[in-house]
Amino acid sequence: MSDSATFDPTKRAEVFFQKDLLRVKIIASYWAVVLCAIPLWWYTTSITRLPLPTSRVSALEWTDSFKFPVDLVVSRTAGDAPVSEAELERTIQRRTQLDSARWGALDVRIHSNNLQNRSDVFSLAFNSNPAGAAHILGDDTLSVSSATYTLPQIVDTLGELLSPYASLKHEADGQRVAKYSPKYRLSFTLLNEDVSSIGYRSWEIEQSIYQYLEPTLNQLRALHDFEIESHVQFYAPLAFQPERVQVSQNHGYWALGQEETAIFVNSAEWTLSSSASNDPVLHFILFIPSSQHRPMHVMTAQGSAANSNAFIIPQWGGIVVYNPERTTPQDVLDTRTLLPIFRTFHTQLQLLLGVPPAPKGTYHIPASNIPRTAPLTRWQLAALLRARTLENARSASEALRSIVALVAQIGHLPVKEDVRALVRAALDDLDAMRDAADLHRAFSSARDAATRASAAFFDPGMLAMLYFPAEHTYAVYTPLFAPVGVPLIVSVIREIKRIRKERAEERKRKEKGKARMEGERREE
Amino acid sequence: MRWHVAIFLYWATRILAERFDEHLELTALPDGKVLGHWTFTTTLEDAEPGLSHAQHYTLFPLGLGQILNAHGASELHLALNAGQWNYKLWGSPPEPSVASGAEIWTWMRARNSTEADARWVGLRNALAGVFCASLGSLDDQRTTTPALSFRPSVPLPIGKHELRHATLPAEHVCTENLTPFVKLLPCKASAGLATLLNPHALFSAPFHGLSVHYTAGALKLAVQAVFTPPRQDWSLHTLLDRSVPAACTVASSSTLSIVAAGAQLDPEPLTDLNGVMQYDLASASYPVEVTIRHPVDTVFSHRRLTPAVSLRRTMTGSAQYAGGLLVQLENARNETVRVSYLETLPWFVTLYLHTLDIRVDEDPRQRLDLLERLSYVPPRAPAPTTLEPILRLPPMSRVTMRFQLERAFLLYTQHPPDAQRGWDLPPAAVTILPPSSPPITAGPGGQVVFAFHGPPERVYAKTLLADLATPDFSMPYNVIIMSSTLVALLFGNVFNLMTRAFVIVNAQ
Repeated sequence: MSDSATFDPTKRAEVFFQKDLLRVKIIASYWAVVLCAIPLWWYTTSITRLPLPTSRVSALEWTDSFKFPVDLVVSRTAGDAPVSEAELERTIQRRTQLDSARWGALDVRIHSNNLQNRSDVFSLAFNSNPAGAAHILGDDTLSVSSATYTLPQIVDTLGELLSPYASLKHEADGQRVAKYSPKYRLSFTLLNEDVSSIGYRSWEIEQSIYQYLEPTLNQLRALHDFEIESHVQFYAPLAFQPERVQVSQNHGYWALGQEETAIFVNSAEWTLSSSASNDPVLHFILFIPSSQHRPMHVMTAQGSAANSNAFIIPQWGGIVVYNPERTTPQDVLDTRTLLPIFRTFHTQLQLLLGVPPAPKGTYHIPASNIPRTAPLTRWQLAALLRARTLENARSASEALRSIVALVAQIGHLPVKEDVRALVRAALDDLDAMRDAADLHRAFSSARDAATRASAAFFDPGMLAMLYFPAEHTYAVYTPLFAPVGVPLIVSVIREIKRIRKERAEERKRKEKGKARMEGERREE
Repeated sequence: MRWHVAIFLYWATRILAERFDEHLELTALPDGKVLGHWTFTTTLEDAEPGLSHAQHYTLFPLGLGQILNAHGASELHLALNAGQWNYKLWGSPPEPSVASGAEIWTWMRARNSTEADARWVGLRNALAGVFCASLGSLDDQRTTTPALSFRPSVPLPIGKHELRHATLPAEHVCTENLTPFVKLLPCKASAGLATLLNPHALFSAPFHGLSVHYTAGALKLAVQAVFTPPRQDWSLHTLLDRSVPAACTVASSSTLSIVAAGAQLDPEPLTDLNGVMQYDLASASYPVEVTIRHPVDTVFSHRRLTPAVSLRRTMTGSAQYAGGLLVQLENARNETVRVSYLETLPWFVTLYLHTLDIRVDEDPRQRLDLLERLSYVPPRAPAPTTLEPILRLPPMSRVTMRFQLERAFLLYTQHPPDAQRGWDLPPAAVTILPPSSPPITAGPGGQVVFAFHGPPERVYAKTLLADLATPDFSMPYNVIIMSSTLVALLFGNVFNLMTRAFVIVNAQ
């Protein structure tokens, strides 16, 4: 056909590189290159998204219904206990069904003998005090007068001792407990409104903390680490004018009402704490009003002067207003004067850290000889540990669930090895907490879980791609993609059209030929 | 119980172990300007921050104490200045750090340089937070460890220490730096001499600077400014638009001194020592106001002591690529002066040491013999060059040092914001050394032992701008789009050639 003698350049199929088959091959090879490049392109532009252990995370609902085992021994040393273990257990079970908010997280086991001197056991004893006497609260015992006991009353008191937070939750001030942190900075500030008129140059802060707070802090170190700092400010003006309450002609005071206490802290003028670390700070402020504003009293919600002359700012700290007797500037505020103030700070510290108070109708007799070394009972510490363990476990499982939900929701969120490792470690910690033998170990596992889960949640690597969306890349490369893509696609369409047309012509020709042959046959 | 007693005894000694002194000195300068120098000194008498776990302060600012403690800074100097100090007219500044912009140098407790680097990052970020200055950008590109120029002013406590020094010439000092600065004072801006720190007067002064110095338990906050009084006779009110309303009662001493020879002061000063007139603000009647009157046609005779050496530094050459650095050191004394010159250049300005050329006055001879010692840290991106020669300047002479240098062509991402402005080169400094003593010796374990201490006499040169070749910063997009278009054109042509059907049309 392509014989040189019969070569006709006007017929395109005559030229070798214009053969239809060759052109189809060329187009096909272009497409082959494009298709082969797609995996490479995919590989170089994709984001690392490691699979997260989603099934383990979704199984975390058990943290909501987690139960702490509590061993309670009914002591029989003082004669025959008037209550049988079975009866007590039944009452508690009934109570658990009725009041799941209080008893829901407890799995109380009643024992009659002393369990090989285990240290994490609480005991219930009976004494021979006369009727109407208060229950005596020991470090880990509750002693009830056998003359007047009633089973529901004992169970009520036990409930308040073992799970004191259920009642707090319904009140607004349940919010004042600071969020759990492994380390707090306690910042004590002596705040003179104007030292030139009245106030103190310094205070015996180290001694006071050592004497009044250190025993409690020591016990609380099982939960938190504390870093203590203190300073004195000499000019700390208020940002508002307190209200003057005139009692008589020449007697009156300045009142800090509920609204004033909310705006009391003048953060623009008072330099209260430094930014040296990221640990949360609990502030304890001793405010000494200037001679202009003295005496100053904190008002209760009912509108009378509060006894303590102090108030709490939820999750932030406590403030004590102190009106000195003498009206001249003085040098040192001594430990004796600081005693009532530090009692208030002590109460505020307990409230801010969520230490439960002893239930009403009980009387605490410290077990140890030196009462100052252990002001908190094991009942309180264990209840606090349980509450913080649950708080941490729930915050960890919440963070883990949020991570999984976020990763599922946002397609270009990278999940790198460190995030996955943290998520796995947090899950392992939660499992360790569930299987822990004692409360302290459960607590430390839950704490680690919460720390790791939040570290995974705030991992900077997860944010890397958020601000560089894929659309941006495509927009930049449009000048390449569009002019290259269009001819490639058009050429394919054109080839398909041509092939179809050729086939249709072929069929027509065949039909024509057939018809002609038939016609010829008929003619024959 | 015995250790209880011991603890109480310890506490008893700690009470009032802190002391605060404030002082303001107003000096009439030969050119009619007035130099104001405020110093606020807080002294921790027994301890320094960092030794105890708990942090208890009364007068010492807690925020700063915690930072010093957290980052193990045994000595810290921070200066924020604006304007140019005129050594010829105004003499030696009371605070030697007068380089414009920000300057920090600190000796930190550190076992090794990795720990020192980590502490340095934390320290500069914490200080940036306290003083609202962009000290956080004093990164590896600007940090140096000069061996000689920044020696500790008092012997350092026991333990290995490392020096870090950095300057940020483009930093602007403003009210936002003064407000947190004043808040570090026990009386803040409510009483005492700090009430005179009127931002309007201070920041319109031709030269003004804030500085923080911490050495061995003593914290000194200082402000120095050169004011232009509206008239020859001035008062606190006309100069600063303020007077002292009340005494800072927690200050152990509070003094105001005025240095103006031959001037008449109202009220009468407490003491007058050769033209240094002093007031004790503890016994003054408030509000304090001082008026200074000069008798008619006073010739300002009060000359200030100028530094022995003056320094000039210029960039030579007009090309963007190659250039030169010319340093002129002038010794005004009638004796040989030993100085250490410190030059830090960012890594992309390459200095050629072999082109070093030292000449005295108009003498055409090379005088490399003036060079006593040369310490040179070549640039390793992003760390800068540190060049620290010790020179002997002959009496009454001008020594000229010349270098040739090259400026690198930076990558697109390496340019700072506002790249067209150029790169501010750190100010060079000359430190005057004692006539003859080995400057440093190496102690056991490579620890640097300083043979001398004490406040240095340092002279700063003006900052320079290195004009770098800058690209068009919209370039990456242009490049991508241009090359995409080119590739697309090429592709279209080739593809068409290969797949289009070409047929010669028969004209008949």
